[in-house]
Amino acid sequence: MKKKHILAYALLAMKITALQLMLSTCFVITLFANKTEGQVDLQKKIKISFEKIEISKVIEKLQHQTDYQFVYSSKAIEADRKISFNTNTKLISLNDFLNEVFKPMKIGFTVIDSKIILYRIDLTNQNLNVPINEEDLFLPPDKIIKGKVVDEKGMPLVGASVKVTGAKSGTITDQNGEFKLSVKDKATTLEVSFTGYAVKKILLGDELIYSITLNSVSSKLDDVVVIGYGTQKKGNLTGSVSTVNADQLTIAPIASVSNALAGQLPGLVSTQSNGLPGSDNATLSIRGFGSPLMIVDGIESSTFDNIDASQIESVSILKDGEASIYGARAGNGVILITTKRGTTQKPVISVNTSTTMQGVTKMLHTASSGEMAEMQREAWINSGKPDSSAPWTAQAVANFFAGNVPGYTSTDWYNTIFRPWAPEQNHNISVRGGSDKVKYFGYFGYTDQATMIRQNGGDYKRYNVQSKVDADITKNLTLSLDMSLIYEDRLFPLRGLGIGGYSWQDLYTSLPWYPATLPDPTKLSWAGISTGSIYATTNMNLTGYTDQKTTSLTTSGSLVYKIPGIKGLKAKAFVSFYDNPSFSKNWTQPATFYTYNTSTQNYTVAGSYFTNAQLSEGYGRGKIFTENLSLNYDNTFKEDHHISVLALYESTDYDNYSFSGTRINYLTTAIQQLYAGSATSQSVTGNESQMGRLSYVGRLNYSYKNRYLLESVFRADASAKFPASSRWGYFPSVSLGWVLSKEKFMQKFTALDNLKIRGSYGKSGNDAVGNFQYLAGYALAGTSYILGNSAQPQLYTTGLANPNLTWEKISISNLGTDFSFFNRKLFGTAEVFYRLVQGIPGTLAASVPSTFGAGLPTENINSTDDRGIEISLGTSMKSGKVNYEIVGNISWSRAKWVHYDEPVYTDKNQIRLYQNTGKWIDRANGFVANGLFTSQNQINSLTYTYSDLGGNSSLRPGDVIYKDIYGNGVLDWRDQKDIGKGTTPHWNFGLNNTIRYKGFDFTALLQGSFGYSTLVNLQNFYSETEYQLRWTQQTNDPKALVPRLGGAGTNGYQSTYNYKSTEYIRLKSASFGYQIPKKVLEKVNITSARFYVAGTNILTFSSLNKYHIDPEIPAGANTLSYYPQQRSISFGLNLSL
Amino acid sequence: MKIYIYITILVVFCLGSCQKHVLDKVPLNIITDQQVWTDSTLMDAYLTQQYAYTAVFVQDATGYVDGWGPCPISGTWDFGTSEQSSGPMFMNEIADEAMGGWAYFGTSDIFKTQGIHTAGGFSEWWEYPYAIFRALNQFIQTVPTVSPSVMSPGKVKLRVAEARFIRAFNYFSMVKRYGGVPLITKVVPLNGTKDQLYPQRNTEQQIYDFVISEMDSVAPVLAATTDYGRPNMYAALALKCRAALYAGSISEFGTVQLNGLLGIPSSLSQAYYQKAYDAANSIITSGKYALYNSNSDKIQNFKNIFLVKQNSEAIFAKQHNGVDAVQAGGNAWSYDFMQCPHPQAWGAGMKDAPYLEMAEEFEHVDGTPGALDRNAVQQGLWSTDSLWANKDPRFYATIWTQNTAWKGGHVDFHNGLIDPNGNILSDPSQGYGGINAWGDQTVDGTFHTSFGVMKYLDENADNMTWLSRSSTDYLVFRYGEVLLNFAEAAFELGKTSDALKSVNQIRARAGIALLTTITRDQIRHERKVELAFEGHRYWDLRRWRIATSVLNNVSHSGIRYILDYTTRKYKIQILNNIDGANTPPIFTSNEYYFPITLTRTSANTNLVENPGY
Repeated sequence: MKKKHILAYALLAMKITALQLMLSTCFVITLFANKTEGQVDLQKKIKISFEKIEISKVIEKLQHQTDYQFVYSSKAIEADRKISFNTNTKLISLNDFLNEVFKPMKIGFTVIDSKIILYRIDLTNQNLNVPINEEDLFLPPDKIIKGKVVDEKGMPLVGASVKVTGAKSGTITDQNGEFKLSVKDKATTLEVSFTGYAVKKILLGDELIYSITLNSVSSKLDDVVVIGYGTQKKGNLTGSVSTVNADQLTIAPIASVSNALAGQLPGLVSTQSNGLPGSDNATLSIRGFGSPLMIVDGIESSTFDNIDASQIESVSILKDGEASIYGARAGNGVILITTKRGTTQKPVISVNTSTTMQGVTKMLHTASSGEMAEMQREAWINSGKPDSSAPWTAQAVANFFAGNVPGYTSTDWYNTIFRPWAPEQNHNISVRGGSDKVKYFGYFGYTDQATMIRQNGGDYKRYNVQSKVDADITKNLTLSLDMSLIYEDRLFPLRGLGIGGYSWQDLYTSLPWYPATLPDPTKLSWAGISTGSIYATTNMNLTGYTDQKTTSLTTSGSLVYKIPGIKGLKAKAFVSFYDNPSFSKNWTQPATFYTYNTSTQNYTVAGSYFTNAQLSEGYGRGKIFTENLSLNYDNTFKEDHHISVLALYESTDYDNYSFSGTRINYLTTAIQQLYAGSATSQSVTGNESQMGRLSYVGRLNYSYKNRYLLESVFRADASAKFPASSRWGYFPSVSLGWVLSKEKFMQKFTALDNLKIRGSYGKSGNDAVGNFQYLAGYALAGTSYILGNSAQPQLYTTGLANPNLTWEKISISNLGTDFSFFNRKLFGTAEVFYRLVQGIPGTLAASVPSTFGAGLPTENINSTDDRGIEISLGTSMKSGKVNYEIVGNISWSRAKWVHYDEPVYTDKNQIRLYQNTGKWIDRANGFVANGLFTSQNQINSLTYTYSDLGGNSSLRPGDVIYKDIYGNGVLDWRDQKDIGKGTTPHWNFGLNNTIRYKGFDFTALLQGSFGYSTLVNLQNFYSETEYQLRWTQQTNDPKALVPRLGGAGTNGYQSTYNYKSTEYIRLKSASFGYQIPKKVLEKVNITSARFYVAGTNILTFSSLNKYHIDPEIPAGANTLSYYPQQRSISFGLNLSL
Repeated sequence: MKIYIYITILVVFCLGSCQKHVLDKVPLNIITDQQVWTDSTLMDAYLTQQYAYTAVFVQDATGYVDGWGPCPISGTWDFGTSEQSSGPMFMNEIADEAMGGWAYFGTSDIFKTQGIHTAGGFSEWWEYPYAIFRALNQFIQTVPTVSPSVMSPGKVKLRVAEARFIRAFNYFSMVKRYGGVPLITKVVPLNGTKDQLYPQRNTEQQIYDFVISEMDSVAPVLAATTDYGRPNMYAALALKCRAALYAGSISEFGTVQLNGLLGIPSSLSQAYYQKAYDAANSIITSGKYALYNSNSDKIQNFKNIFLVKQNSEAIFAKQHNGVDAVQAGGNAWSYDFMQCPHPQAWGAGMKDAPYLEMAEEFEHVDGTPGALDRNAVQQGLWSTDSLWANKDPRFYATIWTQNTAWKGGHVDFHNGLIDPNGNILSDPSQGYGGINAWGDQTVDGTFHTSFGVMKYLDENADNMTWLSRSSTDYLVFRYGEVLLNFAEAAFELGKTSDALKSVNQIRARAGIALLTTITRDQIRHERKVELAFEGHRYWDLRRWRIATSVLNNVSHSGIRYILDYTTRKYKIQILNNIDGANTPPIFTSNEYYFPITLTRTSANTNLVENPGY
């Protein structure tokens, strides 16, 4: 939407409403002329005559002729009296008319602020000049004060409201910013307010003339916030909506914009568990719920990480019933991304360019030869295996550590494979502007993010192109055409660098006593791993690559028609076509590996990475066609009643298809095209799927005096996922707001700028529960089984049908308050919520035993509830030339199983350990450890036996001591308990600091989490850290972080020993910029120019630092097998022409 | 106003027309129930899937992989225990045949050295077979009702009999693990009774009887089988024979527990042995099968049993063609890739490392025991020819070790090099006179026992490419086993001459001295040698109830070959406690049955847990 315009209208509306509000409180009727500006000329000549009509009618005639605005109270001037006047078509000045006709009727007049004020003059004090206060209409004032209201720069503020604190009405400043006001003697304070400025309270003294300066505040209350299918003024929001604006997203250049949201919004849980270029996005979750619905410019999208941060105007997250407007998909909250549009301004060309260096935050360093050999030998001997066949002799270990014995090499794989800094480029140029009739925005961006691999390790490239045009075709009809194209190319080594990517396994298992390269450069060096060597598998030239090219093309158009005749009624038609063709190419290049014995100079074939080249190509395409038609009505009745209604119809059509083919055996590896492969080896496959969705949406907003707010939303959703008889779902929500600070009784709290209380209740759904589950079916397995002389196809069942499966039913209640004190020296928001999710699909597999024998249909059987709090507090200050703002937020949330389908446990230990119902969903069971054994006596004196070891005979010093907490003399499953604090961060916080001084700006965003636990298993792979932190006979440290190598099989239990409480704070992003003074730039015709240095993940304070792992390490089995989180330093320039 | 009208028209049009087609969607890749049961090709494919799911056909592998995705039965990734990986080798490593060598896809060692506990986890075969039972029960119930025009009555009978064979095979695979299990022969509806949904265990005897009686019923029908790879009449008899033999020995050596859920009354042992004897006898007397004896080279002859497809000894086999290599699953298996010596693409292989004791089990050709004089062999220098001279030809066909010929070269295990000055060079980076201190047969950095498994290895297989390329068939039932079953049953029935005759047929084919008398131990020894690494040993030790002594606290050994540079002979070191002195193998009596596991007993409280868990 044309945000700037809406803002302008909103501001204007506010001004007018403020006046109306003020006047209406004293039963004053205001008549507006078409022209409201300009000086009142009392000498203006009029031609008027009438016979026995009401004074009010006379005033109407006057207004009609003069275009001036008359303000009066019908009651005061008894406007229903009938009078006559005849000038015989003679011209008469307004002044004369009023004196001649009205004065005898005891109606006085005066001109204030371009308005003609009419009042009764049969009051005690006939000189009364400014009778605006109701009581003043009839009572004499004690004194008249005058003043001038200006802004910080001394510019007069026109239309500022001036009133005595507590009074129902006051006056407004004129074109010179001046005012006159009659006040009672008892009046003590004067209140001056103006939209966009902090309310100022002036103590009244003896003086009669005041000079008042208002300070501008970004009160944000009038900011327009994007909500579902529309916008809302922040001050009028009743739901829980948090927003981030463009400038907060571009603190530091980042390729994946989700990372810029971390820590910015209360209730947004962000985890960046991966640093792979093109996939280094944060996983976002609203209040710890599941995957939120993401809507980009009105269209459902699976990601927004491929949009440049510079394209984005705002990000809103809908956290409560506000999300219900998205119905069956909205249960986990909604993230709305709005990109920039044209504005009415002269064209502004912006150029942003930056160069970034990315390096690792924390990652385990590969072990050296000495370290690994010693650990292998230690494990071998510790487990009681014969010394004579140990992998290494003690002498060999010593030789490795000596480092200068020929033949005993040690390759530092970490530094051989990775560079300390990987380059990233971000450049974009945009143009934004427009006239009254046509507005436009054009954008081109380029991102190139290379991997940390030194040799041919690939990169992620992205091109973003966007154009938007809004044109007024006729007075009432506006056409918008948008086009966005995103082209992404992910080119990486074939073994994979993502979470669980095999390259990480290759890295840590490549043996350091093998060299990276051999004296004969045509031979690849073996490093003892199944794929040869990490050196080869990360080099695309040696072993192949995977290349994925994706285009995301969104074209949309809308027509908005202001329906003539009905004020505030608009019709809109919107269509959007999203097309997502992708092409992938996987090339496997065969390689043979050799070992080389330096003593004998023998080369021996040790292994191979395939013997034949192989190429697979795949095409896929996903299409989404969305159309919606809506009617929007927005009007104000009787000044106080603002009503806005939306009715919308939406349909979405999805279609996906894919095709892929493979050939093996290539004539030459130089031609990496399918045609060059062996035709006899080829295989192809393909697939297609479709889906559809239909919705009706309604919303009603009502506000009374902007003080009492109501919003009600309703959505009906139908999805083709479900059988026709039960595919419709209905999702209502209602929310209420009360702006307390606008109440009269609150006026005495002078420190208060704004206080609102709001509450909401809404229902929504989550229909990501599988498609067509109501149909039983069979599918062909991808493989065959030989019966007779030929391979036969296989048909497997896709599971039992379940016609009753439906969406998860979610209800959420939210209570919140927004407040601001001392002219925003303190402001914030606090919320509590409770969410109930019912009908979470589960199979009865848990309660129906496996003897049933079928993949049980998923049914809506489980339920969870979430609860949480969010607090956001901020302060903004201005002190001389220093401006700063600090905003912090903290949130907590956690979910419990209300019902979990599970066996009816009868054993109390099973209930305690395995029953989920009523327990936190992310709890973890484990044993209670008590350090490590340090002597055999300790083991011998154990009063219980380790059940899984079949006794304690294999225990030795250095093994983990577990407590027999159940106390039955046997260490078994019963000795587990709920340990740790859960697997997902429950407490999340962020602190955003911005300081500006003259041309300098500094922004720092701290982000962190606590209240969760991480399973730390350093024994997945050999590493330097494992070597340093392990238990050894020499140190015999009962608290060594890694138990005895080759130790008891029980050492790997999940326990308090390895399940570590995690908390961290990181300097998520920071930037320091300098704006070149305008004076300098004017000479070269540049509007603005800013140089900056910025960084991300710059510093991390974490309880896991001592293990040398990042606190956002992905949970689960793939621990340590992932592209580490990156920290970056950028140098950049923002230029506006 | 014109536009207003247009918009109205558009709204009306869209509400009217789009609504229907937006929601009018169907899955495009799903075959419906109705389509399956009216199409004999689809019904055949449905049954074929159950063959494929029955991973235990191949040496008790328990994983199934469909492509590189999760298994459709359980929805989990089960690669490690599948045929395409370590599945078939786990049974060798849990027994006294071998230790786990290459550990990339897991080993059984943890269960061997720490025992099996209430969480279970070793060679589990419970969830899969019940899924297979349901599918087969559906098939058995539905196929007889289809129209003769869809499937001829003769074919219906045959396919149903096949389905019953697969079902019985799976029940046999379960009963030998868990003892009595719930016997489910009908499709249980989701709204079934509590007894159907939460069934109790049947007795061990009931399961064995079910397997035997099912084979009695289907064997005559399966006489019509023509496709190799589907069970024929003799496959049914072979299953009956094996099951009855197991039942006989459990009855004889085991004890009845849990009111018969475990164990079979000892009074019944003779009857079961008789059934085993009879079934074996039917196969033997049919003359359809014979011990493979086509190659005059006894070593190659024994190897060929497992390499020559559809040979005279193959009663029932799972066929492989090495074609599904890319996707895996189905008929793909990786035996060569897993077990072969170097060179191997991943620099690995040697999944199983046979113990020295297993190597010693093989007699000499003259019938003298094969055990080494451990003191003597550690003195002086030995050539491998003299060290392993005159062994049973089956030794060379079953195990590879130092200097075994392989792909035009020789397997090289030497770990250490004695230079002319008498120094032992022990580190891999060392060498002398062009000879490396280490041979190339290290896996995971060690030489393990210096033995590998030769049985089933195809010297022509491509081990340098990728997994799942093996094209050898797996013999589920072979004639050699039938003869040994016959010998054992006969012996237990007191028919020693039958037993002796059978064992001698085996020994004659192997090429070693015949026996003149026969004892139970000799039959068991012959079985261990002839059927080594075919997945029998562990189950045999259990049913004979001798695992508590043979597999408990018995340390095994390996061997180390140190090459003498000057003589090119070897100094031999015996590696004692190769499993680790702290962690010798254990086998407690409760392990004669796997645990039902806590997960399953808590999901169905009607399931009684086995004793000791």
